[in-house]
Amino acid sequence: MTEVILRDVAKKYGQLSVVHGVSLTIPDGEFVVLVGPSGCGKSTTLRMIAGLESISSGTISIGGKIVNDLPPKDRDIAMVFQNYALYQQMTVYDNLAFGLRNRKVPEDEIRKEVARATQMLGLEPLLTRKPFQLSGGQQQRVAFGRCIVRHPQVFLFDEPLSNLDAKLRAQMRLEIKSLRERVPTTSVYVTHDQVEAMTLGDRVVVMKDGWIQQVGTPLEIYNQPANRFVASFIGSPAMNFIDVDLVEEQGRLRAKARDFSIRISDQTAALLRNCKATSVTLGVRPESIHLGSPPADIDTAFTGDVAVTEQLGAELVVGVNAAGATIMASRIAPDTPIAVHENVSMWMNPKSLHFFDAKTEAALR
Amino acid sequence: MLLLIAPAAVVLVCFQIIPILVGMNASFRDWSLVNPLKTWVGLSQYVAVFTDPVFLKIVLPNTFILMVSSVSVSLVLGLGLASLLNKSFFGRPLVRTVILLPLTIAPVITATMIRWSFNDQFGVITTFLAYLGLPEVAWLSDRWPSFTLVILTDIWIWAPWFTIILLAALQGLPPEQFEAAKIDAATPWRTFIHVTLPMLRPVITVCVLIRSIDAFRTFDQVYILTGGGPARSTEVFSVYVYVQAFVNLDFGRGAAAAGAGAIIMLLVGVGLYRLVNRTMVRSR
Repeated sequence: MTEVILRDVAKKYGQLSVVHGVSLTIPDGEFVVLVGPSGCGKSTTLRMIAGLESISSGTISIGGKIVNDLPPKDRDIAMVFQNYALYQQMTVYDNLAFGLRNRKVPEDEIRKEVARATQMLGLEPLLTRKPFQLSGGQQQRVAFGRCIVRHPQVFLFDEPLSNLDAKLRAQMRLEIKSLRERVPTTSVYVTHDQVEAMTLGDRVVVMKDGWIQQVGTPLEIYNQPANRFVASFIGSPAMNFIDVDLVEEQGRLRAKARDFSIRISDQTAALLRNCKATSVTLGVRPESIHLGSPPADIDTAFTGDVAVTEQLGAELVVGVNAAGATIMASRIAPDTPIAVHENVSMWMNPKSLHFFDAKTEAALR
Repeated sequence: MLLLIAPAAVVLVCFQIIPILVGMNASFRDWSLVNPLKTWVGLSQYVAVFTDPVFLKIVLPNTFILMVSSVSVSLVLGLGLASLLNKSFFGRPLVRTVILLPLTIAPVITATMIRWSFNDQFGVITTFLAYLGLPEVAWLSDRWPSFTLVILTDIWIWAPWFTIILLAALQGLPPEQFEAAKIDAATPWRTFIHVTLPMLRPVITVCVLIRSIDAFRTFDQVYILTGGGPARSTEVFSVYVYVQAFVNLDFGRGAAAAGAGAIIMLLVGVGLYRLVNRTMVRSR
């Protein structure tokens, strides 16, 4: 049972605080993804778990044992680095065997472990090659193999796919996913790529400026973002934000901005009335904005001039100037005839509206 | 464009190409200062050099012993010092400056300093060694003690050069491999052997190549310390050429000796160059 527990873990470099009291419990076998923009403290947190960075305060325990003062080799972890960090002069076999040899594992056992890992990763034909003779994807697979052979308690991944091109990244993502099914070890995966976070994580931890913003399953993070940052960081194209005033009109609550007025559903309205907010930020994902007129019972229509169109083949993304912002709408049929500057009508799915406190940026629920 | 490279070209032609051509011409002639007929003698000067027992049995072995021992010991010392200086400790900038000092002193001065320090009668070091009760060594009067001093002086001068270059290389190495080694439970020694050294290999190879070629033409230290003596026993290639050309005033023989050295160095250089190329491919 390998549970990883972080309690109020903080990291300071002199006076500069980069991670502020992170607390997180990762149950046995869970694959957790730390995601956030550059400088959010995700890699530092991972490196503190690995023992490559000292901990300024708080505790980290792995498998019930506090590891704050243990060197990396005694934490029973394995790590995959962004630039693979393979030993350049060694063959693939020696790269895989190095950690086991350092731990004085008998050579025949090493052979068995290496064979198991290479078979799992399809590395058999590459065993005698050196890293510089391998492609980026193959090198990363060797790096995974180096982790697998050791049967560690925890896998740590530090942006392992960042150095690969888009196509290979998608392929490797699938490989990690399939590897994960076969080796269900507790894992912490750091990335700035929201697609990796959404597709790989059992749970996703969104970080910003050294603080955890939200912890949840990918769908929770996507559908119920805790604040405006999480809402804007996860999802592509990003969520639209419109500063609106909440106005009561004939017993109905409406969100109003310049040349923009939509009705808020009764359920959401009750919630917003409870919060007693008047100036809020309305958030709506591009796929929840549709072209044309809404069904009769929905009063969320608005009009605007088309500012930009992006043809993606499978869908058309349209940016419309309305409510003092450029509102992006996606998943529009790619053959829809829309020209820039054309005035179009659009509507929002009332069930997919998010509201955030204008000051604190926290989601209003 | 041509005008821009003209100054460099003029310098190159005047101070490199012309002297080389003059030297090559001299090596095929009987060109002595006391008998300047400059008679064309073909390859006989080269034959004389390559059959000269002093050249074959003393000069060449001395030159290669100096080259191999100085370069290898300087490399090992430089590597050790660079590894130490790569760690942070109190007073590191001061230690770094002190270690690099020999590099800032002209080899002639260093050699003079060493000669005085090892003087048989009033040298500081000989006196100190005698004070310790160690047997007396005729440092500058016997072949091997003198030649050992030559080698030690060369190491004294060049170990800091290796240190500074290898330190720069060490500081430029990516940290991830070392972190991976830490997680892989590698001991500091195994990390040095399996991670640090292989990553430094291209730099080490280039340093060795440059220093080997340079060591082949060592002159100052040997000339100042021993002058090639006693009885020509510590002569190295450059001193041999100097003696032929400017002591015996036989320019033809001196030029041929220089040419012979160039041929030997060309062969050694090509070998080392191939080694460098192979290492670069391996370490990519």
